Amino acid sequence: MNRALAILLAAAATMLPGCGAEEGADEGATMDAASGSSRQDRAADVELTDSERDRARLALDSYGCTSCHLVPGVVGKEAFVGPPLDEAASRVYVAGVLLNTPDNMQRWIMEPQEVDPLTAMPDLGVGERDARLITQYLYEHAGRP
Amino acid sequence: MGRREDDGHVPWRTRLRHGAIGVAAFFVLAAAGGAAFVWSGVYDIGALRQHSAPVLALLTTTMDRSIDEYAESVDVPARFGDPAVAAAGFDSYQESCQQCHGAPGVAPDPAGLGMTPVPTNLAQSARMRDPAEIYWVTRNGLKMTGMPAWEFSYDDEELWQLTAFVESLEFMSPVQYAELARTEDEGALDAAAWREVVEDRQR
Repeated sequence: MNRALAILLAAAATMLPGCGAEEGADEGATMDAASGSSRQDRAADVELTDSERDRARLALDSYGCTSCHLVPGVVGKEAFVGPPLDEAASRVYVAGVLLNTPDNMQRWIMEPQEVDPLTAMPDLGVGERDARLITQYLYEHAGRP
Repeated sequence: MGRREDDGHVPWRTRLRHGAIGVAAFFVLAAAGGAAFVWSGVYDIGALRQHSAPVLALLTTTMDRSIDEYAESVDVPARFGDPAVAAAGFDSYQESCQQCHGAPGVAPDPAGLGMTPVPTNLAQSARMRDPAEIYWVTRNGLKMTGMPAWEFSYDDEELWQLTAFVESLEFMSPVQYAELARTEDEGALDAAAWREVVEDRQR
């Protein structure tokens, strides 16, 4: 009976919000040394604090990113309106129009329609701080430049 | 040898009784565990954070299966494919849908973005769901998602117009959507304008 209780408690624990958010968190972190010395790497090396990482995840959820994108480490429904972001940092271009640098990714997140008037991605009113955190989060969790 | 057989032998009635006690105890413990979980207040009911992955999967599957089943009794009217029907739904879409779901190139309002679950992008719904399902969800709403039932706000004809418009989002670029909005503002959005802006440019 103790075992049944233990299983129950374990099942209850998996239902607590946030527990699922850690998956894929450390992917790519071991590839640092192999990278070159471009601008991207310096920005990518700025490690987020735990609270910054949490804020970045919250922002990715609260600006509606997950209604169109699959985001690594952020729980959401299956969404394929835009590209999955699991390789966002690895791609050569941001949204196919800007070179993939941290500054450009941040700019794209803040004003996609200014960068590409034809894009379906709307201006979601992301402020500079959150756009920076989201960029750093993606460089940390979504592949490597 | 004979003795060992005696020891190992348990009458089937006893086995059955032990099994029944085990099953009953499991359910009692499960109920007690569930009640303790509910009363502890430990589950974060706030809308800031998404459900955990297993809970979201459970809720989403329940929703998807329910929509599949209930939509089966919906009959799609014959006039559904008429461009005039979809064109007539644009006004209602802007009035009642765009705030939470956005549109091609248009962000949802803050109230929509603040919801958990975040309202679905309807271009994806158009691609994945047939008209009967879109109609059923629009008319009946979805419990615990923030999706209202529009049954008492729109009559049946208007609901089908809305459905037709939502289904057309699959083929609509942000530029086409903006152009439709301009045409609507001018009061000139009819079947002919719809054909010109949406259908003639798909090729």
